Amino acid sequence: MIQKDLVTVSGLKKYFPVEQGMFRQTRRFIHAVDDVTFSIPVGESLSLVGESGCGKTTTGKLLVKLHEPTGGSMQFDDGRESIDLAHLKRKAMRGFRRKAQMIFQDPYESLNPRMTVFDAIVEPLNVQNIGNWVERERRVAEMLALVDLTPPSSFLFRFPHELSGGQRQRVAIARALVVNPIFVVADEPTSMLDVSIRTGVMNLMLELGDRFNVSYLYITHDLAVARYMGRGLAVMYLGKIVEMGNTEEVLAHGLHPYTRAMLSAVPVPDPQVKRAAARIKGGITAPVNPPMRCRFYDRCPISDDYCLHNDHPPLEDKGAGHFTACYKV
Amino acid sequence: MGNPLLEVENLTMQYTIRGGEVTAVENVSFSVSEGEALGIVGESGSGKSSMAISLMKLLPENARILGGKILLRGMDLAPLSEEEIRPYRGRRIAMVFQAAMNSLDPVYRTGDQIIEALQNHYQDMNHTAARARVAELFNLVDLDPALMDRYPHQLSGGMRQRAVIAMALACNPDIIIADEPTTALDVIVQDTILRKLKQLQERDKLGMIYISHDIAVVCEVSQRIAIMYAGRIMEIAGTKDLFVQPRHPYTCSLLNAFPSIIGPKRQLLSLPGESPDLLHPPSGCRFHPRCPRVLDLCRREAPPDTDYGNGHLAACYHPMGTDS
Repeated sequence: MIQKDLVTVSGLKKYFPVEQGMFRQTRRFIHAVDDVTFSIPVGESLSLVGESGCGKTTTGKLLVKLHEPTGGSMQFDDGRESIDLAHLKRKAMRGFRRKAQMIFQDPYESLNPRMTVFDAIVEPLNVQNIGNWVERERRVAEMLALVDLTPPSSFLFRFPHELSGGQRQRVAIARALVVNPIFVVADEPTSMLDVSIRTGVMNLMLELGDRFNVSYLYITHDLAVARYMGRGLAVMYLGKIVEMGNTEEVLAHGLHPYTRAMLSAVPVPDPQVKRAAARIKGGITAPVNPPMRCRFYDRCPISDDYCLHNDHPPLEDKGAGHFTACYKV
Repeated sequence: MGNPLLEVENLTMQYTIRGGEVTAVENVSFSVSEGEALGIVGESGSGKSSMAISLMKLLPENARILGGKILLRGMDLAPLSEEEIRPYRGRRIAMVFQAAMNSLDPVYRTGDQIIEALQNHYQDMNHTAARARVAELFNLVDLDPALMDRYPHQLSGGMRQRAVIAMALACNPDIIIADEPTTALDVIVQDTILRKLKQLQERDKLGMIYISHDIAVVCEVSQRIAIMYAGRIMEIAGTKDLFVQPRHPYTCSLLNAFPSIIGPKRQLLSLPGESPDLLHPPSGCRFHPRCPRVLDLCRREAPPDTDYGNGHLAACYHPMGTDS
């Protein structure tokens, strides 16, 4: 069976202008997402990891059209229709929103404090005009049961401030999944939750993803979480994907010096393991009009003159779908 | 292991809030020896930060220490007044706060804030000497001394955290309490800061209490770990013992809920329910409503500590490793 790609992104770019001077001229741009290419097969999930400011959230927002891309193409194909996301008309947006949803990091901010749980979850159904009132009510109760907020009747008319962080995030998940999307961008949905609550939310997302054949683009800064949530893994650095492939393969045989630095910097919950220090210099900078060379050049432990004088290396297949963007590996 | 440096005995701390009293720290006992790092792991609301500010006696107005002793080299800090604690706080027992959380004043230059602390403790130190000391401290934490004339917002998150560590070390304390010092930082920066902190702690044989929600981080910096839940210490043990043979079901659930990038990928087990509301805490063992091994007895009475040898204590009537 040939596996079809649900999302195909090619050469995606998003530049944000930096205003300066007395006339607010914009001569400089932050290259938040710069020539990013990847695809997500139907029913599979991709974890996107990187430090803060690497462009991972921007990538996620581009894919659900919360940002307009500066350039590149995004194709969405659920088997029934193929949608050109980069040039999606406003009119067609509503149809697309039925298929693609987003879950945000902070459930304290993403839920309207004046809306009850019922209002929040039924809203997408109202917007999409799905079902009549009786059906919508039934559907909301069903969603609450699915996200383990039981009995639903005790949660329906609560406000967000009456819920705990974990419960709020479950409401956000119910709201995203209520229209039966096939693709969900999840932007650090568990990073604000306690460990004992976090695992429950991650397991819930995996279980519902399996059951309803939802693909996630799971955005996180935590490699261990990324491993748990996605079969595929893409590592982002300053607007570029520097390494990508099967999650276990990338974790076991990370090739890019940045991936390797990250891997050796993750604390391990095992007192027997002693990690080697990460060989990496300095900290992350903002990609404002970045120079024509490898983005990682300044911090790279193995860079040389070739890296300095050539453009950012292309993402190359180093075997079995394991891609990396480095001249030195 | 060296002599006991800090001994905490039956410490209880309470907040008065609208609606009643909240006992954030209840009957907590532990000790830290010279050169030893004790990790304290707990989720939000477990009382780990309340415990830290109790040790420093940096209590907000609605909080008070109800009982217990905080013995620093045998000297009890608990009954001291604000005036009396001053020579100890910062000088003998210092705190590393989370740099993202307002621990640096945005309107003062970073170095000046450390100079202020220095001159408070050493009245005869002049400005030049204080600046020299700050430069020395900055070098110690791998910060360019030129950065001492910058304002906090001009520094990156990692640099600010280094400055906060430098501030804690300014008066050569005996013990430092680090409360989530790397939580807001990216993983590579976190790693360098942890290594620096650990290196300085070991070099100067400092006592350290490292507080975090992240059991992986705590595992790497501490020789012993205490697990807190709802204001109580559920289990305390040497790091290796705790990971190899956890006794308390809560410890076990934490370990089972934590993903790792090492070893085979495994299914994580989630814990049902929510953290307890401390205004109306559960009867008996605080963990019983979420515990998979709960007995009738647990609902009625809070379990006492059981000693498993080697300083391994767990407060549980039905610990792991005993048959159901």
